[in-house]
Amino acid sequence: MTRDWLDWVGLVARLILGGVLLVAGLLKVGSLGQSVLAVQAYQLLPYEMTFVIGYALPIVEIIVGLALLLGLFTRWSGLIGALMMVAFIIGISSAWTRGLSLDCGCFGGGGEISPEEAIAAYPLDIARDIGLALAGIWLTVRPESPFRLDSRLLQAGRVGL
Amino acid sequence: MATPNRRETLRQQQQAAQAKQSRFTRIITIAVLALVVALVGVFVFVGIQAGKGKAEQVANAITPPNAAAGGIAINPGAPESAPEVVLYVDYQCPACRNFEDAFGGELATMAEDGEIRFSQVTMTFMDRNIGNDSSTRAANAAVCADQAGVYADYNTALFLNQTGGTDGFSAELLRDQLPSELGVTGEKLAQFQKCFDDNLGSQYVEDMSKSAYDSKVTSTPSLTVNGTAIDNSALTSLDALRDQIKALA
Repeated sequence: MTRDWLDWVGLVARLILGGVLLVAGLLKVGSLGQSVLAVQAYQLLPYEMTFVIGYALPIVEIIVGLALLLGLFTRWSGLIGALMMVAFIIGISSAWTRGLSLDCGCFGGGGEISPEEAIAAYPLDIARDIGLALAGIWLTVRPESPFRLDSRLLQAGRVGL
Repeated sequence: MATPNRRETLRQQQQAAQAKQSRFTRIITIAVLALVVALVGVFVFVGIQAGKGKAEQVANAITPPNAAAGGIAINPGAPESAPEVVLYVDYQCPACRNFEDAFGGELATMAEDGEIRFSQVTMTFMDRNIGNDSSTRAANAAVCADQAGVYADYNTALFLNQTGGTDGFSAELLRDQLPSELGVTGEKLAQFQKCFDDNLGSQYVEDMSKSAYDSKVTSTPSLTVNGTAIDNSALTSLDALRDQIKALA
């Protein structure tokens, strides 16, 4: 059986989005206090919520990243990944428009940096997240791809995962 | 060619296999989802606990007698008409030490002369950057020092004793050395040390971090005049400091 080439696009989308999420989560999960500070730098959430997001985000990134790499619940993992990217794009754009100078904290770090560095980084951060969001949307619409645990283990086609 | 009967049997076998497969699917799905929910739940729970701080277990928590502007007043008797100046610091932040060296004396003079209503909000985020708890312990000690009536001097002494490393402040320094240097003795010293030992200021320390966040202060040192932040890069001299304060007063 020959595969549709679109399936391979799905595999690339999974590897890129899943790989980036997994790395981002792993880099942050070892220093959750830092992660909270990175969330606080955005000044978007109530004080207490910054701790919840700061602690929960890295582990969610790791789980969704792993799921995408393995091809588990591909459609839902892709959707969650895309929604996370949309949230990040909103966060970064909002920091930019409010004139905040912050490190996005996407891969650890975070907090205030010089305005020059921040202005230089915002467009690249947003462009990267748009690309990743597109990968997630692709998988939501068309999760079919090679080496997917869904199809082997769960007979995904039949139960509509 | 199979008889209708035989075909029927085959069909039943296929259906049974499919049912088994979908049961397996359901079990795996539920198991994986349960694991994910549990894992995320644990992180959310720990995050909520971290957000509350360690303060809620503290009985007899104190509010510093000179609590003001989300922090502690340096000159509580200042005239109401004077502009409200708030300095946000972390006792382990090296830039705060530099700020104290450069501008601490001038601000203290202005406070003494009643030109400003001066208070300070102590933050503790350096603990998370450095990986110790010295900012929190020092902030708690400073709340206790306010109870002992020596907040401003204790505050200055903390900066002078900054080590710059990851060791932070020793309990001996915070609990014994600094109060005795500032002339806190007898009954007052006993009260201070009880406050320090029992973390009686920790709730207020947590409140100060929240107050700084709500005032949109995310780095230290930050100086605000009537709620508006001064750009640190504009503070090139003591005259510049006075000009900036005057401009926002």
